[in-house]
Amino acid sequence: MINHDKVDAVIVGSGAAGSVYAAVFAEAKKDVLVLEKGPARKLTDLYSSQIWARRLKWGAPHVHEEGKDSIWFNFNAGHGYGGAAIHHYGVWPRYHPEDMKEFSLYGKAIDWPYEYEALRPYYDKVQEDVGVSGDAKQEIWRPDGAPYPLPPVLVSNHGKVLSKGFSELGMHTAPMPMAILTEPYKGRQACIWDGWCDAGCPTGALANPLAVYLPRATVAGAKMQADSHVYRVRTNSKGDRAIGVEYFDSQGQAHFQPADTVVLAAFTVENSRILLNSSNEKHVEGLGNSSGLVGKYLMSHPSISIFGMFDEEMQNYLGATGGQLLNQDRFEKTANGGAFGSRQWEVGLALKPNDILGIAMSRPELYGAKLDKFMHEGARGLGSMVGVCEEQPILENRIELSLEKDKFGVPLAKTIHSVGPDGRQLWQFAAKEGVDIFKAAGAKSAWHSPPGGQHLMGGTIMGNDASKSVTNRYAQLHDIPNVVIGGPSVFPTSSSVNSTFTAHAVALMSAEYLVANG
Amino acid sequence: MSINRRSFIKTGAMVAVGSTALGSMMTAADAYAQKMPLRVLTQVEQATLASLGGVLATGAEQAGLVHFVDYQLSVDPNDCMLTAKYFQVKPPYVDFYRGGLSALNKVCKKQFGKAFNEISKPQAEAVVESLFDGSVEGWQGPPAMLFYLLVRSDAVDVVYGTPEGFEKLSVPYMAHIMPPEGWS
Repeated sequence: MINHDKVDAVIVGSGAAGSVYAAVFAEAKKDVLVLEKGPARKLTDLYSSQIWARRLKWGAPHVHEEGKDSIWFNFNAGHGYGGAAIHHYGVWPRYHPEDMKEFSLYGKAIDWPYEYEALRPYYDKVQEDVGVSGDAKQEIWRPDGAPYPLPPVLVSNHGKVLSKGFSELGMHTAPMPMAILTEPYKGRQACIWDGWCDAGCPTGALANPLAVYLPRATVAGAKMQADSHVYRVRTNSKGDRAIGVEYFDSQGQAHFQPADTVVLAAFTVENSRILLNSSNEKHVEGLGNSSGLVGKYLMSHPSISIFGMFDEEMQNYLGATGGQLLNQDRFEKTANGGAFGSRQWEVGLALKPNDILGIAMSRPELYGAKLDKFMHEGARGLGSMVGVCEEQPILENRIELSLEKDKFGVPLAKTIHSVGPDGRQLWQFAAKEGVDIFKAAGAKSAWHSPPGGQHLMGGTIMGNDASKSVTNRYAQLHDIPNVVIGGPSVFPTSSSVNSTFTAHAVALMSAEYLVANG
Repeated sequence: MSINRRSFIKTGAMVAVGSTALGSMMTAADAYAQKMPLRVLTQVEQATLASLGGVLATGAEQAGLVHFVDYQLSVDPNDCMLTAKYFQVKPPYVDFYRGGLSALNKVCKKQFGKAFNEISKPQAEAVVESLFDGSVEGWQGPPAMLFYLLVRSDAVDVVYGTPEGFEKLSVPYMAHIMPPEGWS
């Protein structure tokens, strides 16, 4: 094993959370090394192609999924600099206050270790850093927060047509709050609404890590290292402090990187996998696992796509992959019949002909000449939106180590995930409501996809009680405080909003605390 | 930043494969036209995949479906650009394709006494529909519907997912950066 010189902080993963930690630590004059499992990547490597976009997604080591409902790990996760956030869609609503105290308010789920007001300054700071666009006045559901620094996103005919359906049913839409520049901002260009978000935004208009926090980190002196497969956190002999991480390079050579602080920001499944793989004499069940909760409460967002064919020229190739308009009329936890949890609609997603969110996949039963006819019609008149539902934290939904091993001999991760009864009902409500909205908007035909999922949370949830959570409010392991967990794996609840904004805010809160407290 | 925005490309197909000659790259359609040797798939698998793809998306064979898939099956899973990746198929992905293509031919031989690429168009369509709805009898391979979806997605990629494919649909491609003609 090759031993390296000690650094102040080693950060495992270069995505949303890892990039924030790297920037804050480096700007505080700390010696920072970011280890990324995937390849080095630049903005200019982000090709406009749904086919090439797949290189940004996870491929190996394989994550074996069990349970009734896939978590779509590979599609959700990232590979290379920027992690999953390199291909995220920039849909940035905030968690609502009630999302963070569901147990106190409703006797459901798990409370966060703090309330929304504690996180709000960090949302505000992040949105100023990256340039979030939106219309706070129109967004009637929006929690308290600073005004958006940029005006709202483009609404094409796609959004305009679909918004009529909401209006007809007495529902409201607002411009989607997005981490996409509508005007030049801090040296970055404005978006031109070409819908290539999923393939990674090479202009930097969408606030992926390569556009905002990683440049800040490297300018401040942080070092980035690709092809570094971290598999273990090493502790001192007493087991009360981490002393660094072990990793393999792409040739299979083992390395030890000593560090005063270890940040695991390797996304939801890998964070748990590394902790479980780090067991030792003092931590037989894995690091940070005295509660037995490492890997538990794995969550995804049950989601459903709505499609409809319209006579209008929808201009569905314009806009952003994540949509143009937002609706949170069904966000109240008890607003969905007997199902507990929130829902939201992301309306008017920019469409491409191929890929799993593309025109062809909206009618998977079609082939040959009928498919070709549909493709031509869909290119002009297909509308789409996606309903995102809350999933309750369920103990049995979890990440474990597999008996199988990766090419380095390290146990793989296995996930077990089934959406609970509340999530299933929310799916059904969303499917019916979505089709009704499309019909009200004038669709000639409207249909919904099979149930799916997006975003990954949980596995290392935070909390104030060390017996009921893995990390404290600053995302430090209760058991070993110099190991910090970055990313949505620390979320105790899923809400129904996209997780990247909150991942940034939670990471910023933690990083600033750690800097201020040595 | 020097990025060519909105380059409405008029050049050759962007679904491409690595050539075996001197490491140079060529499009999948060119590789098909020039009958370039395959890396992974056998001749039987090639014929079956070409025929199935052609049924699923008109023009897929000529657009180089087989060479596209074959090349992608030869690379590291992280670099692979097949939709199989998104559906959590366990690498190596060739096992999935090989199992599906073999199962397809066995079903056809049992039903019609011929391989898939030898049966009539109505017969092929009936088989394809039975893959999608799960009614296929005697299937012994990866989940039939998933096999259908993934090969269909590959065929859609080469027919509709390229700049030419967009152009056929009158969809502006609007690339920030055009994908390279080669895959690596």
